[in-house]
Amino acid sequence: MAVGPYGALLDAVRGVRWPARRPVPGGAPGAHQARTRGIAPEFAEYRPYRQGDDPRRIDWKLLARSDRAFIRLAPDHATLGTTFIVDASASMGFAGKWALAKRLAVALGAVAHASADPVGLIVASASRARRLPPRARGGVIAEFARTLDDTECGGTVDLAPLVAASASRCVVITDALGDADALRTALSRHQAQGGEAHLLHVVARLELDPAGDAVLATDPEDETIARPLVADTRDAYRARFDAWRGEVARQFRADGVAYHEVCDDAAVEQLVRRVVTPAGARAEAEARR
Amino acid sequence: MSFLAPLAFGAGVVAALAAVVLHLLSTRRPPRAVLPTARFVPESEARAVSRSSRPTDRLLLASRVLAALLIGAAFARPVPDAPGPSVRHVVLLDLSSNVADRAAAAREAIARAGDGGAIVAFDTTARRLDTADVARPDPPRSAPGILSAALVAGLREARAIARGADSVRLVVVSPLAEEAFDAATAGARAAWPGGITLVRVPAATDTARAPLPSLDTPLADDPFAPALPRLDPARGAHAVRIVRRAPSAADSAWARQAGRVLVHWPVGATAPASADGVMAFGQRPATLVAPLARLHSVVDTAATAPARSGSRPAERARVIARWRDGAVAATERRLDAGCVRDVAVGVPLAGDLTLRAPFVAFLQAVVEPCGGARGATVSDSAARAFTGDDRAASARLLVAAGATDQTLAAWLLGGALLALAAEWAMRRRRDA
Repeated sequence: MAVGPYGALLDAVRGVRWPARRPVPGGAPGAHQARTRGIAPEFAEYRPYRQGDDPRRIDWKLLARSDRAFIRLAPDHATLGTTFIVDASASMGFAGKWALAKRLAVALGAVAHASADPVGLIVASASRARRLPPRARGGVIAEFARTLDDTECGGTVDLAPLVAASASRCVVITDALGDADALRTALSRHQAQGGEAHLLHVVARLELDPAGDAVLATDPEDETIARPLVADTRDAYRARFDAWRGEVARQFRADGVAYHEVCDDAAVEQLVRRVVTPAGARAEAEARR
Repeated sequence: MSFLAPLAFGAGVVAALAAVVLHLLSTRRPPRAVLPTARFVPESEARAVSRSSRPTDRLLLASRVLAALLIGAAFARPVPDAPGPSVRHVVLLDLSSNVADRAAAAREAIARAGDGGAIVAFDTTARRLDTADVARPDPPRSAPGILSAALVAGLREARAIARGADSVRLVVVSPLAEEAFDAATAGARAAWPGGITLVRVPAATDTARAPLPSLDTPLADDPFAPALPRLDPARGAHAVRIVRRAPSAADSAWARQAGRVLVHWPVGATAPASADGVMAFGQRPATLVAPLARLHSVVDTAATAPARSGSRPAERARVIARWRDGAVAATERRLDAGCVRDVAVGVPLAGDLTLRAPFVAFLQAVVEPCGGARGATVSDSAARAFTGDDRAASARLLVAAGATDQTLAAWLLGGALLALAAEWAMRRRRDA
């Protein structure tokens, strides 16, 4: 698998599993617990035979002992299709945000792919949205890497319409500076339809703590926004940005979206482990710390 | 290079300093930088104060400072400095007939002119002479010297030699005869922006022997007759006729000739009991105190009154004698080439007054040539009033009063325009 500069990262996340946050709909056998019961060797319960059941699933020994026909049931496991929607707007090209987004998509894709889940990719850029449909075959991660490396950030994009084309598990990697409200609505709808939604909010260290020089800060997606960032306005900027990030996290979490803020100076493998850890386990870990 | 208007250059320096201060304290637009979260920066004026201990945009500042200094220098009326003595002399050399020894005066003028100086010789005209021309023997001239023409010519020469010097000193080598002063002298003197160094040389005096004045009197025993032989014979070569009656047309016709003086001195009335005093302003002033009668009808008071506007000063009579209370006692009127004198002093017919020296001196002043005796010079106080202090005139004032060379200013202005063009180009490139 030709993954170029991502080899070390993939080695670091090898063995990491990304369980579904809740039972998945039935489907192809996979690693995630399904909402259905199947014929797996592990015993779960008996159910009286009903007309139409497959006679081969009758527990013949129990029938011999009790002269009553029961069907032997076992927990079912299925795969969980995962689609990564990566924001490639102009704002994502700032500092190390795009590099972090690429590495997160590749690493999480590899983690999901390791569980035999089909993984797909949608790269939303101003020119067009490049799509890789969810697949479980080998080499899909290398295809991820090539597609992301070939993409240049620029312009403005709307991510919300892309959520409808996502698989059950939708992972959006964005800085949320575009259509954040519409995206939240789309992800909320996706959750209501039985899907699983993750939002990886990418921020740059230079956005959290801008350099001390006096500059005329210009929005790359809106040239009309040009404001002097000087000593007098820097504290107010930090306060406003912090408040906005807090509000975004609160709103997404309130809608059931797994929200994670990721900074471009953090280690990607640690971010991956944080993302794949279930919320309850993460809360316990944080409580232990 | 020096400046005739240094305040203008000072203004340019102030403007340059202001530009430096503005570059240290300028509020300007900070450089643009991409920040995706710029929407969270509070809105404020897009120009922020940028203060620094080092000036910003140093090339731009240099062009502005250069332009300010060049404009200030151009408007400060620059004149190029040339090597030479710091003080130069313009010598006005009197070569008129009033100078007793013109060769000595010429030597004095050459010595005073020094290196780089100019000598302006004058009599009725003024012209610049080289040192060799001044030293060469000059044929004697009979023309009087006109100081106003010399002052104007001297001012012109001073402006010519002022370039490259700190100051110019004006030296007048002359006896300062009274006739050298005319109506334009005061104005020409006021045009000279400094003092005048006066070198007074001896004045020439008439040595010709004049015939005795003729006496036309109705009296058989006129007391003037014994006084006439007592007059100084070296008083000049002019003819004098003393008429003791009303002058006739023949007398007037006689007086119109050059070198003739008609003295109308009527016989006086009865002499008063008390003495009176009268003073004649001749080459040698004479005062006569005696029981004299004032003959008011003789002197034309209208002719001696101050000139009214529109009247010609040349027509006014010259007062040659006054009573002790300031009243006019004798006047002189020009009559073509000659002149007529009216004397309103009644001399007693009896007594020996006319035989006494004061009367002879008074008579001597009355019979002087028309316009006064030649060689009469102004008093020392009048000379001091004419010369003023001894300071030299500033060369800057002289050049400023004349036509200055604008070439250097034009070059400076051209340089300033180039600096401004460079400033404009740099500003456009910076704002682009």
